[in-house]
Amino acid sequence: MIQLDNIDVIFDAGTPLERRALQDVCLRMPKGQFVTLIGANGSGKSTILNLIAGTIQPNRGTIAVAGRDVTGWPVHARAKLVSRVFQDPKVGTCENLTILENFAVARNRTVPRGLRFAVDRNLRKETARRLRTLKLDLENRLDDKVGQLSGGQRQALSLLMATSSEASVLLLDEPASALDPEIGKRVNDLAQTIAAALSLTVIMVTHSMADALCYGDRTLMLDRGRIALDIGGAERTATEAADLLHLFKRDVSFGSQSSAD
Amino acid sequence: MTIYELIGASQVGLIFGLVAIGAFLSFRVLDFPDLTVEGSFPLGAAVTAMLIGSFGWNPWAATLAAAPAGLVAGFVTAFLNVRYNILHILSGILVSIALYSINLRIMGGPNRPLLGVDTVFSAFGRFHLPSDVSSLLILGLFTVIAKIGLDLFLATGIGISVRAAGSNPAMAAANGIDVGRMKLIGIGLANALTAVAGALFAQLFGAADIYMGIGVVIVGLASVIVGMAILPVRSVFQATFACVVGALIYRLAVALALNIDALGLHASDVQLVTAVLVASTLIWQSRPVRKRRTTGNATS
Repeated sequence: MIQLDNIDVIFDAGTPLERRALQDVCLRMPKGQFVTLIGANGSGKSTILNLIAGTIQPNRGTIAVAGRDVTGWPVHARAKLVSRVFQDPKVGTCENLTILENFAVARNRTVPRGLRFAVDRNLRKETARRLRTLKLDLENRLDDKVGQLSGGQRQALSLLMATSSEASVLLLDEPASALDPEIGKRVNDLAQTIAAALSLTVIMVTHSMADALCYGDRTLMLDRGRIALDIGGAERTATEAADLLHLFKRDVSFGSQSSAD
Repeated sequence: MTIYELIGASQVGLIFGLVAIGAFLSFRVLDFPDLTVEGSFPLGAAVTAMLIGSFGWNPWAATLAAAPAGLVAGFVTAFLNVRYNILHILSGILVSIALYSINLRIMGGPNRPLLGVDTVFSAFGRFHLPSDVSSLLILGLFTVIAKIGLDLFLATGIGISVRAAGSNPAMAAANGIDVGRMKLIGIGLANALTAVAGALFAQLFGAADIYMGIGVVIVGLASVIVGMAILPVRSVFQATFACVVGALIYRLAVALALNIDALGLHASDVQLVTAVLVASTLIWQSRPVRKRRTTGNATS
């Protein structure tokens, strides 16, 4: 479903600030797989999400989603295949629009409304039905501006909107990190439930070792632009957060030695 | 202030209501400070004056023909910004100075009188209304149609995409919206409205003039600021209404200020007064007031 081949990403190429964000990264994910992605700051986690979403282009290599080579496609074109929940709840939703209008924007990508009214009775009914599953009482606030909601509520909306199209790939960029732990856990759980129900292919970036093992079925650790660890199945089940942390520290120090070479 | 001055100020206020709705679309909805209007306002006037004066067009058709002319001007500005990443303000300045020459070409000189010909304001002649009152009605008709038209447009699928693209480009793109195309549509429409305003202005005062665009952008913005400061703006419907009311109030205030002899203001001081008014409102709004919710920057 997602296929990255020999990806190099170099920021500020040809300048003294040149930095290799990703080096020869290859990744294959079958349909329905849920990958958690960990790594230190600057290891390239967000770069991978940005590559798949299209906000940055690779210097080398190809990106394929759902069997189509999307390398070079702009963000809005990839939105047919790829949905995204941003780290900052403010980015995933539009604060100047009402809840209903936000869902209208999300519906527009599957069912373009053109010059017909963006909001109609069907959308109102369908949005209320989906919001009821959140149990946040948002179904009674359909005409409130999203800017009036809390970060957790906005992130939950963002998740519902991201999963309301036919896109089969879901990118989660630390969706819980800006929220308090309890709400964050609810958002992550909700993501897992929806992804399973719609058999979405998911990449979730996280800073939490525990979350990395608790959610999904495969874990990747990035270190200095390379995939340093790739575990799944029984090996992953046997791994604990402490082991991961240990590996993480070793890899980071290993990385600094290798870069000194 | 006499009743004639009051009607005169209201007429101009309604015309600038169109400009204000356009400024709302570019400055507020799309977050695109568009200076093209300094050129597209006289462009609409020039096109309409030529079509009526030299080609004998029906004044209504000639007035509507200003819209596509403004639309193209707006497209060019947005295209320079979207396609070539030229700063939006600079794109607008480039197009408006280009329009200065183009307008001179269209009119074949710095101005084009529209005297002794039929204009849209001649239409109510058979009802035997005082001409000032019928002009006011016709201008009101244009402004109301434009206001409701924009309200309806912004509620459509494309309209809501324009709003999302202006308010949160990252979210819009992630939802499959081509943000660049939305800027083209929005800035094009804003300039179409401005060009029609120019066309009406020329017919009201009996001439199109190359310099009539000076200060239009600031007057439009002043109207938006004044209207939104005094009226509630919880929906698009209320916001566009506030823009039209803002334009009327602004014009009436200017007329009033010029009428008070004690102030010693001349008609030529209007631009200075406008600039001071807009600057002081912006300064006032930028104060850190606890109650006022700051428009948080959504791009992290």
